[in-house]
Amino acid sequence: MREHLRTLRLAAWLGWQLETNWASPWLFAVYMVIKPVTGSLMLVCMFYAARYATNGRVPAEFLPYLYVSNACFGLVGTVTFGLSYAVVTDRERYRMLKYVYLSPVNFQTYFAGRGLARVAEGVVGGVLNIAVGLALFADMRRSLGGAGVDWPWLLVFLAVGVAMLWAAGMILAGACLNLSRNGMFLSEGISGVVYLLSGVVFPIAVLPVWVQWIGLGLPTTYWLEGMRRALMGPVPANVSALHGPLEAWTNADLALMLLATTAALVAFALWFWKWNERRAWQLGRLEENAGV
Amino acid sequence: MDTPAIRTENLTRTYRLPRRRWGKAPAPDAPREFTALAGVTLDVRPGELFGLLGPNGAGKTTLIKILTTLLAPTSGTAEVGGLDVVSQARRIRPFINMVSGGESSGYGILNVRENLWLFARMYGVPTALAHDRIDSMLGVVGLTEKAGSRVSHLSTGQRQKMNFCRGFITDPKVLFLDEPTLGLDVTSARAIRGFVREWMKQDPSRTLLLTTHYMAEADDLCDRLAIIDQGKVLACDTPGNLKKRVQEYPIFELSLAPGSGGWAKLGDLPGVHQSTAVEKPESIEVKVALFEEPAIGAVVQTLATNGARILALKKVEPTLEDVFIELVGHGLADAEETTAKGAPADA
Repeated sequence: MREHLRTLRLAAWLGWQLETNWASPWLFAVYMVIKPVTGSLMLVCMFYAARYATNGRVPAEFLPYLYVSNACFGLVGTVTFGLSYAVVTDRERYRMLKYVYLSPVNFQTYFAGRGLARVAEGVVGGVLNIAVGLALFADMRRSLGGAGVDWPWLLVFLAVGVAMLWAAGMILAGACLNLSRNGMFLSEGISGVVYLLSGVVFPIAVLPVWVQWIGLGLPTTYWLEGMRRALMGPVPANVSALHGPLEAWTNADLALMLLATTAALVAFALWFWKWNERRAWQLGRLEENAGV
Repeated sequence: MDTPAIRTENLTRTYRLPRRRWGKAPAPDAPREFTALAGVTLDVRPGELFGLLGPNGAGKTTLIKILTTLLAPTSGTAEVGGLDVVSQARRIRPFINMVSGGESSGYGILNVRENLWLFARMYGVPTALAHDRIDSMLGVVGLTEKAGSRVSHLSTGQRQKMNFCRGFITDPKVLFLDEPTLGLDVTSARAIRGFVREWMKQDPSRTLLLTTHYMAEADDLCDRLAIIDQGKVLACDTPGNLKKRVQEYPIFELSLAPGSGGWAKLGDLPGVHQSTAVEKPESIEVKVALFEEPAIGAVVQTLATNGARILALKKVEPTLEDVFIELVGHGLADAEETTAKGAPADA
């Protein structure tokens, strides 16, 4: 256990150094704000364009919905893409993956640590993103300040969500062990699909029913719904445009479902990672590089 | 009897070669697989500095990858410290380490000390001890002044030296050095060879497996050597015994002053196997092959008795290059050229 904790700490330290030390602290701080905020501001512009085009028929509550969802989803991209990126860069850029592999550290624990650094980066990015949203938009202030943040549920959804994101990241990172450097584009592609199906910028009710079922099979759908409720409270009853299939679910229902889907995802991630690690060992891909 | 530090039996590794590529039809005669190791059987004793000598593509690196648990063997067995590399890899890793030469690995954003500290901690070396070892190793390779420099700011040679340090700071019981001096300048390479020798002397239980294609390095460092080519071990013995294979009798060359006598009788002396001489305007070059080395005394005495003036006398030592040519049928440089043109480079 001590070895695992040491590995976790070392890998998290390494991940944080690699993510943060490429620029001066001030430049990095600016990047940490600009990167997530610009993504959200693009959605805000689209929201206002849609509102203008429909003569205000898009409800004002849509803005905090998509802003908060997008800020939370940033964590999905940061962790899942970050773990794939860690595999690819450790192997092909730093050429250190083989030395990590043949050291006594547990390979999976090492990547869990690398993921932790990304979680920290994602959480900081998300908080900054929401803070900027609160500062700029009155609709955000009304939604987040109205019911107040439900801290206990926020912690529950955040904690289970981190496990879920780590598992998703490990699945993609595992696949990258057996793919060349372009394997990280797999993470981008899957992240895009999950973005579409998890109800990030619109309720999944607007999707065809069979697609909704796929969305309901994703833990990210429950996690985002839980995070939105914990931060903004339930969607007001009069805003039907934002109602979806999870409308009648309580927070406990959501948390349980998130826990169940996350448990399944973690089990699959553990198996899939082991399978890929063994396959990479058999095929000699732990130090293969695509000539970068 | 001691458990061998490293043991392989009939170890084989084949790589499947990709046949299909987008937009390219597979060549009908393209081979389906490439054999990097073909039934390698070796025993390396504890405390031994064992060398693997062979051209690029001979299978040296593949063997090291398997022994360091980085790659699965296709068949056969391999053990390090009596533990199987397939089923007991986790138990092997704490007491081994590896350094690959000629590569510029390292976390570029971290500085040299941080890189080394990170790996020392991964092996459970306490921080204070890690820093002591880092200081000492950086001194050995002449990188002390670069301890605080980012790895991305180092030259390739400096990175290689840092990696060399990484291999030693964990104090492994079995160390694998894969071409450790490849691309280093002469002074650094000499310093590294000197350190390796000292490091082995410090603790007799340490074992080191070195791959190289520098004949002189192998000759200089190794207690025993295996000559490997195309995945097969062609010979395994001490450098001295390997050289004896290509030179059955000790050979001496003598340079005599013009007009010297007695050299024509040397072939008749007891203990002399063969004698040849070439008369040149400035000297007479004599070459004698002896049944036993002490017979050189009788040769010198005969020449002196006959009034010959000996200008120079030297023993002709065969080199590992001679051994290699004898065993493989071509020189190391020829083999590398062939490899560069055809065989996969990562073998």
